[in-house]
Amino acid sequence: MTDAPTTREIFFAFFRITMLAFGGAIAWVHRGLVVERKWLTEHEFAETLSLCQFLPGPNITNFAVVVGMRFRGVRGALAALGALVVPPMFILIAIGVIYEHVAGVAAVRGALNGLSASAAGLFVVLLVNLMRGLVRSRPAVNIPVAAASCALVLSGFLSIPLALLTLGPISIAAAWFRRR
Amino acid sequence: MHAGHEFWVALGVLFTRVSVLALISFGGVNTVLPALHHLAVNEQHWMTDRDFASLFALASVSPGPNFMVLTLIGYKAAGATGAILATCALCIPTSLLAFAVVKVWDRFKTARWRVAIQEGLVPVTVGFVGAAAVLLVRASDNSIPAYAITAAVAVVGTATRFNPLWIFAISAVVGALGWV
Repeated sequence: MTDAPTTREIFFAFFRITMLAFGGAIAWVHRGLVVERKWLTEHEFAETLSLCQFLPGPNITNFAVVVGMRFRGVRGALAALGALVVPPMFILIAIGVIYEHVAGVAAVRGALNGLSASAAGLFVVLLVNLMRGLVRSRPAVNIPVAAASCALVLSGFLSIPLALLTLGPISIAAAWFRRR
Repeated sequence: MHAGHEFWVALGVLFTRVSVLALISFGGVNTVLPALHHLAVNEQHWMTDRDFASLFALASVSPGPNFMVLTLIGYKAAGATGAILATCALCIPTSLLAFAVVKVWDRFKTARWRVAIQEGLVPVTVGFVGAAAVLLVRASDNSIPAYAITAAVAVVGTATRFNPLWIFAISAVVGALGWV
Protein backbone atom coordinates (compact mmCIF):
# COMPACT_ATOMS: atom_id res chain seq x y z
CA MET A 1 0.00 0.00 0.00
CA THR A 2 1.86 3.05 -1.19
CA ASP A 3 -0.89 5.53 -0.41
CA ALA A 4 -1.47 4.21 3.12
CA PRO A 5 -1.63 6.95 5.76
CA THR A 6 1.65 7.80 7.47
CA THR A 7 2.32 7.08 11.14
CA ARG A 8 1.87 10.78 11.82
CA GLU A 9 -1.52 10.86 10.08
CA ILE A 10 -2.60 7.78 12.03
CA PHE A 11 -1.57 9.48 15.28
CA PHE A 12 -3.57 12.63 14.57
CA ALA A 13 -6.64 10.72 13.36
CA PHE A 14 -6.82 8.74 16.62
CA PHE A 15 -5.96 11.81 18.70
CA ARG A 16 -8.97 13.60 17.23
CA ILE A 17 -11.19 10.55 17.81
CA THR A 18 -10.19 10.23 21.47
CA MET A 19 -10.73 13.94 22.17
CA LEU A 20 -14.23 13.81 20.66
CA ALA A 21 -15.15 10.39 22.04
CA PHE A 22 -18.16 10.89 24.22
CA GLY A 23 -20.71 8.18 24.77
CA GLY A 24 -19.34 5.41 22.57
CA ALA A 25 -16.01 5.91 20.83
CA ILE A 26 -16.69 3.40 18.03
CA ALA A 27 -19.17 5.79 16.40
CA TRP A 28 -16.39 8.38 16.23
CA VAL A 29 -13.98 5.87 14.72
CA HIS A 30 -16.52 5.17 11.98
CA ARG A 31 -16.94 8.87 11.32
CA GLY A 32 -13.21 9.65 11.42
CA LEU A 33 -11.85 6.71 9.43
CA VAL A 34 -14.69 5.75 7.07
CA VAL A 35 -16.70 8.93 6.41
CA GLU A 36 -14.10 11.68 6.70
CA ARG A 37 -10.74 10.13 5.78
CA LYS A 38 -11.94 7.17 3.70
CA TRP A 39 -9.11 4.99 4.99
CA LEU A 40 -11.53 2.07 5.38
CA THR A 41 -14.60 1.05 3.38
CA GLU A 42 -17.86 0.24 5.19
CA HIS A 43 -17.11 -3.44 4.61
CA GLU A 44 -13.58 -3.21 6.02
CA PHE A 45 -14.90 -1.31 9.02
CA ALA A 46 -17.54 -3.98 9.77
CA GLU A 47 -15.00 -6.76 9.27
CA THR A 48 -12.46 -5.10 11.59
CA LEU A 49 -15.13 -4.41 14.20
CA SER A 50 -16.18 -8.05 14.32
CA LEU A 51 -12.55 -9.04 14.94
CA CYS A 52 -12.32 -6.43 17.73
CA GLN A 53 -15.55 -7.66 19.30
CA PHE A 54 -14.25 -11.22 19.27
CA LEU A 55 -11.13 -10.17 21.18
CA PRO A 56 -11.23 -9.33 24.90
CA GLY A 57 -10.52 -5.75 25.94
CA PRO A 58 -11.91 -2.43 24.77
CA ASN A 59 -13.11 -2.60 21.15
CA ILE A 60 -11.60 0.80 20.53
CA THR A 61 -8.02 -0.07 21.60
CA ASN A 62 -8.22 -3.30 19.62
CA PHE A 63 -9.41 -1.27 16.63
CA ALA A 64 -6.48 1.13 16.99
CA VAL A 65 -3.97 -1.75 17.08
CA VAL A 66 -5.50 -3.56 14.10
CA VAL A 67 -5.85 -0.47 11.89
CA GLY A 68 -2.43 0.91 12.84
CA MET A 69 -0.82 -2.46 12.10
CA ARG A 70 -2.58 -2.82 8.76
CA PHE A 71 -1.27 0.54 7.51
CA ARG A 72 2.15 0.95 9.12
CA GLY A 73 3.00 -2.20 11.08
CA VAL A 74 4.10 -2.02 14.71
CA ARG A 75 4.88 1.71 14.52
CA GLY A 76 1.41 2.43 13.18
CA ALA A 77 -0.17 0.36 15.97
CA LEU A 78 1.85 2.20 18.60
CA ALA A 79 0.95 5.59 17.09
CA ALA A 80 -2.78 4.77 17.05
CA LEU A 81 -2.85 3.26 20.54
CA GLY A 82 -0.65 6.00 22.01
CA ALA A 83 -2.79 8.78 20.56
CA LEU A 84 -5.92 7.10 21.82
CA VAL A 85 -4.85 6.45 25.39
CA VAL A 86 -1.99 8.71 26.51
CA PRO A 87 -3.51 12.22 26.16
CA PRO A 88 -6.77 11.32 27.99
CA MET A 89 -4.72 9.46 30.60
CA PHE A 90 -2.98 12.70 31.58
CA ILE A 91 -6.28 14.60 31.56
CA LEU A 92 -7.79 11.97 33.87
CA ILE A 93 -4.79 12.09 36.21
CA ALA A 94 -5.35 15.87 36.46
CA ILE A 95 -9.03 15.21 37.19
CA GLY A 96 -7.99 12.67 39.85
CA VAL A 97 -5.75 15.29 41.52
CA ILE A 98 -8.52 17.90 41.48
CA TYR A 99 -11.06 15.32 42.74
CA GLU A 100 -8.91 14.54 45.80
CA HIS A 101 -8.79 18.24 46.68
CA VAL A 102 -12.38 19.31 46.10
CA ALA A 103 -14.43 16.15 46.73
CA GLY A 104 -15.21 17.42 50.26
CA VAL A 105 -16.74 20.71 49.09
CA ALA A 106 -20.53 20.55 49.45
CA ALA A 107 -21.37 22.06 46.05
CA VAL A 108 -18.90 19.72 44.29
CA ARG A 109 -20.29 16.70 46.14
CA GLY A 110 -23.74 17.75 45.01
CA ALA A 111 -22.71 18.28 41.39
CA LEU A 112 -21.05 14.85 41.39
CA ASN A 113 -24.22 13.30 42.84
CA GLY A 114 -26.14 14.78 39.91
CA LEU A 115 -23.55 13.66 37.35
CA SER A 116 -23.40 10.13 38.82
CA ALA A 117 -27.16 9.79 38.56
CA SER A 118 -26.97 10.82 34.87
CA ALA A 119 -24.05 8.49 34.14
CA ALA A 120 -25.93 5.59 35.73
CA GLY A 121 -28.86 6.43 33.45
CA LEU A 122 -26.63 6.37 30.37
CA PHE A 123 -25.34 2.96 31.45
CA VAL A 124 -28.95 1.73 31.66
CA VAL A 125 -29.40 2.93 28.05
CA LEU A 126 -26.41 0.79 27.04
CA LEU A 127 -27.92 -2.21 28.83
CA VAL A 128 -31.31 -1.73 27.16
CA ASN A 129 -29.66 -1.58 23.72
CA LEU A 130 -27.75 -4.81 24.45
CA MET A 131 -30.95 -6.50 25.63
CA ARG A 132 -32.79 -5.44 22.49
CA GLY A 133 -30.08 -7.24 20.50
CA LEU A 134 -30.49 -10.37 22.65
CA VAL A 135 -34.27 -10.43 22.24
CA ARG A 136 -33.88 -10.14 18.48
CA SER A 137 -31.42 -13.04 18.27
CA ARG A 138 -32.49 -16.12 20.27
CA PRO A 139 -34.59 -15.28 23.35
CA ALA A 140 -35.23 -18.92 24.30
CA VAL A 141 -31.58 -19.55 25.16
CA ASN A 142 -30.12 -16.09 25.55
CA ILE A 143 -32.46 -14.47 28.04
CA PRO A 144 -32.17 -17.20 30.73
CA VAL A 145 -28.38 -17.26 30.33
CA ALA A 146 -28.15 -13.47 30.68
CA ALA A 147 -30.49 -13.48 33.68
CA ALA A 148 -28.50 -16.27 35.34
CA SER A 149 -25.15 -14.58 34.82
CA CYS A 150 -26.53 -11.27 36.14
CA ALA A 151 -28.04 -12.89 39.25
CA LEU A 152 -25.00 -15.08 40.03
CA VAL A 153 -22.56 -12.18 39.78
CA LEU A 154 -24.77 -9.71 41.63
CA SER A 155 -25.42 -12.09 44.53
CA GLY A 156 -21.69 -12.67 44.87
CA PHE A 157 -22.24 -16.40 44.34
CA LEU A 158 -19.86 -16.45 41.35
CA SER A 159 -17.07 -14.07 40.39
CA ILE A 160 -16.92 -12.92 36.78
CA PRO A 161 -14.10 -15.35 35.81
CA LEU A 162 -16.03 -18.28 37.35
CA ALA A 163 -19.30 -17.22 35.72
CA LEU A 164 -17.51 -17.15 32.34
CA LEU A 165 -16.06 -20.61 32.96
CA THR A 166 -19.39 -22.17 33.95
CA LEU A 167 -22.06 -20.38 31.88
CA GLY A 168 -19.72 -19.67 28.95
CA PRO A 169 -19.37 -23.31 27.76
CA ILE A 170 -23.13 -23.93 28.11
CA SER A 171 -23.97 -20.85 26.06
CA ILE A 172 -21.24 -21.56 23.47
CA ALA A 173 -22.51 -25.13 23.10
CA ALA A 174 -26.03 -23.78 22.53
CA ALA A 175 -24.69 -21.42 19.85
CA TRP A 176 -22.73 -24.28 18.25
CA PHE A 177 -25.71 -26.63 17.92
CA ARG A 178 -27.98 -23.83 16.78
CA ARG A 179 -25.71 -23.27 13.76
CA ARG A 180 -25.84 -26.83 12.50
CA MET B 1 6.44 9.88 46.17
CA HIS B 2 6.00 8.20 49.54
CA ALA B 3 6.87 4.60 48.80
CA GLY B 4 5.45 2.75 51.78
CA HIS B 5 4.64 -0.95 51.91
CA GLU B 6 0.96 -0.33 51.17
CA PHE B 7 1.80 1.59 48.02
CA TRP B 8 3.76 -1.32 46.51
CA VAL B 9 1.06 -3.81 47.47
CA ALA B 10 -1.55 -1.61 45.78
CA LEU B 11 0.58 -1.42 42.62
CA GLY B 12 1.04 -5.19 42.54
CA VAL B 13 -2.66 -5.91 43.09
CA LEU B 14 -3.65 -3.30 40.47
CA PHE B 15 -1.39 -4.67 37.80
CA THR B 16 -2.15 -8.36 38.23
CA ARG B 17 -5.90 -8.03 38.75
CA VAL B 18 -6.48 -5.46 36.02
CA SER B 19 -4.48 -7.35 33.40
CA VAL B 20 -6.32 -10.60 34.17
CA LEU B 21 -9.70 -8.85 34.03
CA ALA B 22 -8.71 -7.11 30.79
CA LEU B 23 -7.94 -10.46 29.16
CA ILE B 24 -11.38 -11.84 30.01
CA SER B 25 -13.32 -8.64 29.20
CA PHE B 26 -15.16 -10.03 26.17
CA GLY B 27 -17.37 -7.21 24.93
CA GLY B 28 -15.34 -4.47 26.58
CA VAL B 29 -14.48 -3.19 30.04
CA ASN B 30 -18.16 -2.58 30.95
CA THR B 31 -18.59 -6.35 31.20
CA VAL B 32 -16.00 -6.61 34.00
CA LEU B 33 -17.18 -3.49 35.82
CA PRO B 34 -18.77 -5.55 38.65
CA ALA B 35 -15.39 -7.19 39.31
CA LEU B 36 -13.61 -3.80 39.27
CA HIS B 37 -16.21 -2.43 41.69
CA HIS B 38 -15.72 -5.41 44.00
CA LEU B 39 -11.93 -5.05 43.84
CA ALA B 40 -11.83 -1.30 44.49
CA VAL B 41 -14.66 -0.90 47.01
CA ASN B 42 -15.30 -4.16 48.89
CA GLU B 43 -11.97 -5.94 48.76
CA GLN B 44 -9.15 -3.36 48.72
CA HIS B 45 -11.09 -0.41 50.19
CA TRP B 46 -9.43 2.03 47.82
CA MET B 47 -12.64 4.08 47.73
CA THR B 48 -16.26 4.25 48.86
CA ASP B 49 -19.24 3.23 46.77
CA ARG B 50 -19.96 6.93 46.23
CA ASP B 51 -16.38 7.60 45.02
CA PHE B 52 -16.76 4.75 42.52
CA ALA B 53 -19.96 6.30 41.15
CA SER B 54 -18.33 9.75 40.97
CA LEU B 55 -15.20 8.49 39.20
CA PHE B 56 -17.31 6.55 36.70
CA ALA B 57 -19.32 9.73 36.00
CA LEU B 58 -16.15 11.84 35.63
CA ALA B 59 -14.68 9.34 33.15
CA SER B 60 -17.93 9.42 31.16
CA VAL B 61 -17.83 13.20 30.75
CA SER B 62 -14.06 13.49 30.12
CA PRO B 63 -12.30 13.17 26.76
CA GLY B 64 -11.17 9.65 25.97
CA PRO B 65 -12.93 6.31 25.90
CA ASN B 66 -15.16 5.51 28.90
CA PHE B 67 -13.07 2.50 29.92
CA MET B 68 -10.56 5.02 31.24
CA VAL B 69 -12.45 5.01 34.53
CA LEU B 70 -9.65 2.51 35.21
CA THR B 71 -7.11 5.35 35.11
CA LEU B 72 -9.06 7.09 37.88
CA ILE B 73 -9.36 3.86 39.90
CA GLY B 74 -5.59 3.46 39.57
CA TYR B 75 -5.08 7.05 40.70
CA LYS B 76 -7.24 6.54 43.79
CA ALA B 77 -5.38 3.30 44.61
CA ALA B 78 -1.79 4.47 44.17
CA GLY B 79 -1.54 8.03 42.83
CA ALA B 80 -0.24 8.96 39.38
CA THR B 81 1.92 5.80 39.25
CA GLY B 82 -1.18 3.73 39.89
CA ALA B 83 -3.08 5.59 37.18
CA ILE B 84 -0.41 4.91 34.56
CA LEU B 85 0.04 1.31 35.71
CA ALA B 86 -3.71 0.55 35.60
CA THR B 87 -3.97 2.04 32.10
CA CYS B 88 -0.99 -0.05 30.90
CA ALA B 89 -2.32 -3.21 32.57
CA LEU B 90 -5.52 -2.75 30.59
CA CYS B 91 -4.05 -1.82 27.20
CA ILE B 92 -0.80 -3.75 26.86
CA PRO B 93 -1.90 -7.40 27.33
CA THR B 94 -5.04 -6.96 25.22
CA SER B 95 -3.12 -5.11 22.48
CA LEU B 96 -0.49 -7.85 22.33
CA LEU B 97 -3.27 -10.38 21.95
CA ALA B 98 -4.92 -8.33 19.18
CA PHE B 99 -1.51 -8.06 17.53
CA ALA B 100 -1.12 -11.86 17.56
CA VAL B 101 -4.67 -12.71 16.49
CA VAL B 102 -4.89 -10.26 13.57
CA LYS B 103 -2.25 -12.26 11.70
CA VAL B 104 -4.23 -15.51 11.82
CA TRP B 105 -7.72 -13.99 11.76
CA ASP B 106 -8.38 -14.67 8.07
CA ARG B 107 -7.74 -18.36 8.60
CA PHE B 108 -10.56 -18.85 11.10
CA LYS B 109 -12.87 -15.87 10.89
CA THR B 110 -15.64 -17.96 9.31
CA ALA B 111 -14.92 -21.13 11.31
CA ARG B 112 -17.96 -22.53 13.11
CA TRP B 113 -16.22 -22.77 16.49
CA ARG B 114 -15.16 -19.13 16.30
CA VAL B 115 -18.66 -17.87 15.51
CA ALA B 116 -20.09 -20.10 18.25
CA ILE B 117 -17.65 -18.72 20.84
CA GLN B 118 -18.47 -15.15 19.90
CA GLU B 119 -22.24 -15.67 19.85
CA GLY B 120 -22.23 -17.81 22.98
CA LEU B 121 -20.32 -15.28 25.08
CA VAL B 122 -22.71 -12.42 24.31
CA PRO B 123 -25.61 -13.37 26.63
CA VAL B 124 -23.23 -14.18 29.49
CA THR B 125 -21.52 -10.80 29.21
CA VAL B 126 -24.81 -8.92 28.79
CA GLY B 127 -25.69 -10.39 32.20
CA PHE B 128 -22.49 -8.86 33.59
CA VAL B 129 -23.45 -5.47 32.15
CA GLY B 130 -26.83 -5.90 33.86
CA ALA B 131 -25.09 -6.54 37.19
CA ALA B 132 -22.92 -3.45 36.58
CA ALA B 133 -26.01 -1.34 35.91
CA VAL B 134 -27.55 -2.42 39.23
CA LEU B 135 -24.32 -1.67 41.11
CA LEU B 136 -23.98 1.76 39.47
CA VAL B 137 -27.58 2.76 40.16
CA ARG B 138 -27.21 1.56 43.75
CA ALA B 139 -23.97 3.53 44.22
CA SER B 140 -25.26 6.69 42.50
CA ASP B 141 -28.81 7.06 43.66
CA ASN B 142 -29.50 7.76 47.32
CA SER B 143 -32.40 10.17 46.91
CA ILE B 144 -35.62 10.50 44.95
CA PRO B 145 -34.25 13.30 42.71
CA ALA B 146 -31.25 11.08 41.87
CA TYR B 147 -33.53 8.21 40.83
CA ALA B 148 -35.57 10.69 38.79
CA ILE B 149 -32.44 11.88 36.91
CA THR B 150 -31.33 8.28 36.19
CA ALA B 151 -34.81 7.44 34.94
CA ALA B 152 -34.96 10.60 32.79
CA VAL B 153 -31.63 9.82 31.06
CA ALA B 154 -32.66 6.18 30.59
CA VAL B 155 -36.01 7.10 29.02
CA VAL B 156 -34.63 9.90 26.82
CA GLY B 157 -31.73 7.69 25.72
CA THR B 158 -33.80 4.63 24.84
CA ALA B 159 -37.13 6.02 23.64
CA THR B 160 -36.21 9.26 21.86
CA ARG B 161 -33.56 10.41 19.42
CA PHE B 162 -32.59 13.36 21.63
CA ASN B 163 -29.07 13.30 22.94
CA PRO B 164 -29.42 12.67 26.71
CA LEU B 165 -26.13 14.45 27.38
CA TRP B 166 -27.76 17.82 28.07
CA ILE B 167 -29.38 16.19 31.10
CA PHE B 168 -25.82 15.70 32.42
CA ALA B 169 -25.28 19.45 32.53
CA ILE B 170 -28.65 20.14 34.16
CA SER B 171 -28.12 17.35 36.70
CA ALA B 172 -24.72 18.78 37.70
CA VAL B 173 -26.22 22.23 38.27
CA VAL B 174 -29.20 20.86 40.19
CA GLY B 175 -26.80 18.77 42.25
CA ALA B 176 -24.50 21.71 43.01
CA LEU B 177 -27.53 23.59 44.37
CA GLY B 178 -27.94 20.74 46.86
CA TRP B 179 -31.12 19.22 45.50
CA VAL B 180 -29.90 15.71 44.67
